[in-house]
Amino acid sequence: MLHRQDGAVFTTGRSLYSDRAPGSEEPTAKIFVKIGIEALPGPIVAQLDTGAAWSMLDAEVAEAMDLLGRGGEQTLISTRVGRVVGRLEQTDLEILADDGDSLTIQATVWVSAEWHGGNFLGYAGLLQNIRLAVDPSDNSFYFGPL
Amino acid sequence: MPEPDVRPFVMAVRGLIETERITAARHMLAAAPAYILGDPLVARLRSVLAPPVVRRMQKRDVDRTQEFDWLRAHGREYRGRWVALVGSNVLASTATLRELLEQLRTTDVSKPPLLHRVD
Repeated sequence: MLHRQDGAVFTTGRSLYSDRAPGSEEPTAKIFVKIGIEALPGPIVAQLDTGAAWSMLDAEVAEAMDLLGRGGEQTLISTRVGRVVGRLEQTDLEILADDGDSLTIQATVWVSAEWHGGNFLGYAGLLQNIRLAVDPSDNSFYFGPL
Repeated sequence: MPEPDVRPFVMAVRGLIETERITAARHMLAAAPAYILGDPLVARLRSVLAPPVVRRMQKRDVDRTQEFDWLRAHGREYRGRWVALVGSNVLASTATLRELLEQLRTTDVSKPPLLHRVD
């Protein structure tokens, strides 16, 4: 894994990322990483978005996780399709490694029955407590706990 | 002695959340007077604003190069649908995630499929 100059561990896991939305004709480069959710039998992808305050889960994924209709804190979020009302809920997500260790994260995520724009890993409540690095030469995503 | 009115405090924290000033909201909650910490609204805000807890675990996925390549080549044929992929094999393709999960319950899978809605 990645180490600092003094030999201390920096990241503990690595996975392949997709540098565009898998299967999409949307041409701009983005970083999609694999995440695991207990309610699902396999991984899904989520876009890294360090500019987003919160992580967001697509309504269908949130439904599978039984996160819709809970009593979390209601809040509005500005999205590319306008402001959407949803709730902040706590749940467990996994950032999956191909090599090294995966991470399990008890995080606050934003969910809404109205949100069908995909999954995002945002800064507050998730990425701010993770070390991360990318190597675009081979689409490697490196990550580890603080 | 009258119950303390926590609403102005809660409204102020909510205002910070809605303007995405999460660090400021956390600082405000951290400085909350002790006599309001037991209020359910304040407790809920403290819960959702708690920093994430991150732990390592010895679970691994497999390399998904084949799945990503397949989606790049064939994604347009499945626009708007959910697919479950193992390598370049499509185990299931449905209109909704719920239907996909139902189909996978009766499908023999050699390894966990990548689940993806092609947008």
